[in-house]
Amino acid sequence: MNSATRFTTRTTRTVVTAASVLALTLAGCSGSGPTAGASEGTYPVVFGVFNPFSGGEAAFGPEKMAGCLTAVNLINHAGGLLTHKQVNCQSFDDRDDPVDAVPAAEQMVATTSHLVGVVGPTSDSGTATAPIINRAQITMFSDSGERTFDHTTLKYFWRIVPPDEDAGLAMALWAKTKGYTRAAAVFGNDISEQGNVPALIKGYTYLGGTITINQAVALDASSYRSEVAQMLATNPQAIFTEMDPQSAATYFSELAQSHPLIPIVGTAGTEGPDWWKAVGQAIGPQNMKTYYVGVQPYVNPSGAAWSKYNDSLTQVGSQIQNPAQYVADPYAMAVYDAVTVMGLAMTAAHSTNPTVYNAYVPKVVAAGNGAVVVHDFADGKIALDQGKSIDYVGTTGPITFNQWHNSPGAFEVNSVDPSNLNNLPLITTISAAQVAALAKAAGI
Amino acid sequence: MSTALQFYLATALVYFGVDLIACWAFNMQLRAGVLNFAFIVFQAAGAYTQAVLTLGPQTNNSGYQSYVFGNELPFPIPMVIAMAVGAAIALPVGWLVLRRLDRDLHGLTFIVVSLIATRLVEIQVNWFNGPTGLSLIPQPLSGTVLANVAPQDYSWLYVAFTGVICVAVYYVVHRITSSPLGRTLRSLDDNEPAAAALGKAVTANKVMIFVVGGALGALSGAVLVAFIGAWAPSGWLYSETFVLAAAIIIGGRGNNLGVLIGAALVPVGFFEGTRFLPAFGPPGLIDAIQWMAIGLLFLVFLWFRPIGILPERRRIFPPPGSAPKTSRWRALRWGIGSAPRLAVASAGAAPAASAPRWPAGQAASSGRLSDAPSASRTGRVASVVEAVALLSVTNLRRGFGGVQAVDDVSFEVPAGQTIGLIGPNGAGKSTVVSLIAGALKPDSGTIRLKGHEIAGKAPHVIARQGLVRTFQLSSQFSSLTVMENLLTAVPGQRGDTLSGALFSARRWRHQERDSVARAWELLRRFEMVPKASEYAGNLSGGQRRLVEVMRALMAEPQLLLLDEPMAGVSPVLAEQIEAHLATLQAEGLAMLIVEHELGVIDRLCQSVVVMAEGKVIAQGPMATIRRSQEVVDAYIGA
Amino acid sequence: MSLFVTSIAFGVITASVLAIGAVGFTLQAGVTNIVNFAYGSTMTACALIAWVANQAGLNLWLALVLAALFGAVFTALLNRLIYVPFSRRGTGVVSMIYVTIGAGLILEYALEAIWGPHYFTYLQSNGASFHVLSATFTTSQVAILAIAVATMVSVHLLLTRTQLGTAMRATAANRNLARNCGINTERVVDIAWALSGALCGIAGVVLAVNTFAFTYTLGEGFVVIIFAAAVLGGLGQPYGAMAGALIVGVVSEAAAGLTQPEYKDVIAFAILILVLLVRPHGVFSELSGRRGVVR
Repeated sequence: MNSATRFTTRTTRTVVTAASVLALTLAGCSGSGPTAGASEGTYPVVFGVFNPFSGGEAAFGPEKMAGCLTAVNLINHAGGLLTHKQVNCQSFDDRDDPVDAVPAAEQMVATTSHLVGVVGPTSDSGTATAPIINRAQITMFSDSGERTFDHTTLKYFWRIVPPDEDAGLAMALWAKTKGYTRAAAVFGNDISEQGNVPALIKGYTYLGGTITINQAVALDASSYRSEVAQMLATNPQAIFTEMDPQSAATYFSELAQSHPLIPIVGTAGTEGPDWWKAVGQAIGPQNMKTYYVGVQPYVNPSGAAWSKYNDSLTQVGSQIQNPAQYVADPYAMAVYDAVTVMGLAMTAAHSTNPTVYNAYVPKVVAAGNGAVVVHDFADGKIALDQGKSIDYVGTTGPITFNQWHNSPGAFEVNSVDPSNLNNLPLITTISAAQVAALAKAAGI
Repeated sequence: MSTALQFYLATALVYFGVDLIACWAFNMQLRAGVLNFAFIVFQAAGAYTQAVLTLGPQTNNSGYQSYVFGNELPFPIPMVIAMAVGAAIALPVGWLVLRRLDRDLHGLTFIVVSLIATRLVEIQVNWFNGPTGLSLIPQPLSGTVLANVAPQDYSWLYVAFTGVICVAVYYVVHRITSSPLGRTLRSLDDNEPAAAALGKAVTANKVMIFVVGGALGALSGAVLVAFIGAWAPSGWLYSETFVLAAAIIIGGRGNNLGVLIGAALVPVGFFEGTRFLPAFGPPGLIDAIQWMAIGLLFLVFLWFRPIGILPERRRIFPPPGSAPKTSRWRALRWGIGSAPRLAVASAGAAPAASAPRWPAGQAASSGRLSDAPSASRTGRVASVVEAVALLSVTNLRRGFGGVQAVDDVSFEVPAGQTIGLIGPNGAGKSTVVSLIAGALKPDSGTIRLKGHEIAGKAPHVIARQGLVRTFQLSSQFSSLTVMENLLTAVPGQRGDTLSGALFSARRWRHQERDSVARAWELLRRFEMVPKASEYAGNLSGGQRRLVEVMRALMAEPQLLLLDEPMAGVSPVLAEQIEAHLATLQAEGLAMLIVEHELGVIDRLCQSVVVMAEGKVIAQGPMATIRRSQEVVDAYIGA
Repeated sequence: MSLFVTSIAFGVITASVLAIGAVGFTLQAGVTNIVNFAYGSTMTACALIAWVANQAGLNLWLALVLAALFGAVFTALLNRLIYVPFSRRGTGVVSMIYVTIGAGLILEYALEAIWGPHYFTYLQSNGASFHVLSATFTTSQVAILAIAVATMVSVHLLLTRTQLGTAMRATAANRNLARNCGINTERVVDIAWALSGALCGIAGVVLAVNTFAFTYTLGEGFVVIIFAAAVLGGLGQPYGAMAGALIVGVVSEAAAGLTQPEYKDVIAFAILILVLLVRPHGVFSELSGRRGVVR
């Protein structure tokens, strides 16, 4: 037998052996959470953070992970979940596209021991992967703003971040308040950034405004001078925008070079240190202060809930890169609230099994009927152990789930002080009711 | 096994099947010299087609997605149409790009095509919902026949379905690659001009394989999307094609089983396996390390094991009569690495292959030439003039920039005669050869073969009319064995067309047996029998020259155009080659020989054309030429 | 109309950035016959080196010089340590493409591994603005234009006035013949790679200055347009590359100004493909005989 044939046989044996080992290992895994009715063990339980940790939206993963770690830290300090003293967060990279996300979701629910809850999915894979997680009967709190979830029938799906169109409507309301009657829409042409636009345009037009130009900008080009010139030719009073930091810096620096600046109204996607630094350097820090505002889900960076969050963030800071950026980050805080709510639901249900505790999720955030208002997990646990019902009001404010498991919240308009990126001066808030009213009136 | 685990395994298997189809199709194209770096676009085309034909009208779902069509067609119609779409896109793209550009450039161009496709889909949101992509695509038969099947059972059914598709694709790919068509495609990968000179339509074949691969790529996309129900531009960036390329390089190019192993190891094993790694490091680190590892895999495998885990199999063709005639499977045996078992081929079982196949009618007065001294050759002049002109070149002109390389050249090659073309370096001889063979277009003038105008025609067309040329520099098909080199030259092979390869295996195998026998005869004649199963790339220079001549003969030429057959060949081998040529001449083959070795010309040629600086400065028998002062001046002055 | 004129003016700036990169790429491709797919990641690497130096206090334009030096050394080493050994083993044309792709992948993702998927900006002030026609340019942009012109002139002088330049042109035309004429082709090839790397470094920094903020994918996105410009002018033809850069830069900006800007890249690519189909050697390629065409 010559060397080529020997190699073939040896390789085939290796491949077959490896495959068998892998198959056996996988078969030996216990798969998803404990079976219903089994008594609770003391093993560690896991919250899965199912988000992009690579690709274009790689910033989302660490952001949500920070929220999870912060919540889990407080849960562990308060004694853990029921008999499980140790609660962990585990990341699952959906790689920012649905084709990779599907096997990632399957793998997560199939092979993770004691997975009790999921943070995710996000917009880039949500419609494909939420059904997978739902089918595995695992409670999930998603941060996808996609419209398909506005009326979802997935039993295990919960959302406490606003849908994309609400964000667009909030921006329209803000512009109306400021008296901008003519505005340009300059958005990057990738997934998240296109979600806000249709509602923004519809709402703004309904309120009497004119969208002078709607630019879907190709990201990361070396120059946008022509686009800027086209935009300026339409004479807008303000610019609605969301783009990645590189594209935004290029675009706005070229704007600043050729024309006095125009007020910039950015989405939640523009609220982050990378963006502020890049654009701040492009147009000058003083101009950032003067011309930029961001519209994002409302968070209350003060009060009992937030100070617990902030303390915890400091404690877990060593596990997070640049934790200071999440001090006032609504999405990290939404995840913190989500994990806390799931933990409280488990406590109330006396089970870490989602098939049991899922029904308790709305119960621990329901106001009235003598429910005790609590602002963190420890207090909530104490009250529940005393047999009381609770209403958890966290960093993102009161949570009220509608029939489709959505709890749309309020929005805030803030500016940015480049010398202190962790402290965002609040300009005003826009309530959920205002947004809902506009949505109804404009037929969205 | 828990339900979730079943789903995961089923998903992994479907992905593996999809990657397998894609890798096989892509590999088939690569092995034909088509660097289809836009392959992923075809997968996307199939996926989108499946999606928009399966989805209902876009007003469903409250219009959350905008897309074209939306016809809710039942399984399997969308998949069939997807394949057609893949082929339909491949045809114009392939024809435009492959017609004009060589490998470096067309690889680059395909990357650009891929980028254009992504950009167009993202901009035109109303086509396929832009960057957000399509979702909620129903799975085949899930609303009708299989509506009541439990989801995990459906998944396993789909795995079985994917398996069936894989088997079918394997059948197609295997048929093509193991047929004479496959051999032709591999020859294109090695040396396109040589293939053209043997009558292979280079562009037509490349476009054909581009279309077939495009259809299969589209099928892979359709199968994937039908299962996962979602598809977006971020899932088909052009870098995905390089993941497939990595799988093929690692597994083994040109070996379908190797490609299977590569597909299992890279897209599935590597990318899936890394999911199980514990998260570590700052964000993006694991992803970065993964891609670095892919790059490293490229380099490591190309260095240590460029042939891949499973190398391409060496095809062995035993000589007729040496193998027991048990079944027709034995006529062509696939072996790995072993030397052919040889009985002396004169066992008598060989069909009549010893008689040369030169067309009747031109073989007339040839029997005595080979052993006649120059005197009788001179006496032959009269009969030469009367013979029919097989090739006639008239007023041929070709310039490059300001230089007139061929300036008003005229001469003839009569049937059954050997004409020499000599002259100092730079005289334009090679240009004349290229013009006659079709590799270059003349600026003006005519070239007639058997009375038909061939000037300006494509090389493969001219070759099919009976004019076969050899090349100055070795032009063997290096990754084919000597026997395969010979077999590629056989004209009119049934298995050399797509339909023949797919559907007429019995007939082309039958034909091939005859060709194999003829090839063994030639090998015996040229004393190359021990090297029959050696890769042509491993031969010495002289042996390659012999292969080239044998190959030209397998093409059953009516006129053999030899471009410096003795160049770089040892004197012993040169003698052998000359002896073979003399025998051919005796058998009546017409030849045009370009040579510097004047002794060879003297002995073989009835008449000689002398060129210098683009012009013909003398024509006639060698003896006359030798005495011409002009010729002497040209050689010494040059 | 003035928008159109403005676009053309902007196109000149884009062309400046393109030209440096395209000339560097084409010089090396002409002399060595290798299409270096790692060119884009090298641009990013040099831009990052300049950023590190710039953060440490070095003036931006000095950092550019540093980046050019790094590019030269890195590319020369890349050739010597990776490409040449593969070449010597007889690695085929197609496999060499994969080698350069592999090298490019390793480099690009090493950058991400080291510096993370963050965005970087140089410490620069825009300086005074210049108004030309109806367009406004900053000092940085004028500087970029000046650098581009200076680089083109230097390359031209190198190729036509120096012995090295003649040697390079000879090697590009016919390596065997050049060697037989006594030219040390190996050294010429080494220098061609180093020169290509230096230009690559300058192009990377200039691109980063122009886009203002950049991340580890900077070069990857831009390199295809550089290829387009180089191939448009005829691979191996430096003057062709300059012309190609000008055409691609101006036409795409003008097209963006006239139609929808999002089609800018598509138009640039479509131009490239059209030219390739009509004149596969590129627009200026009378003498670049062997490259590109099947026949």
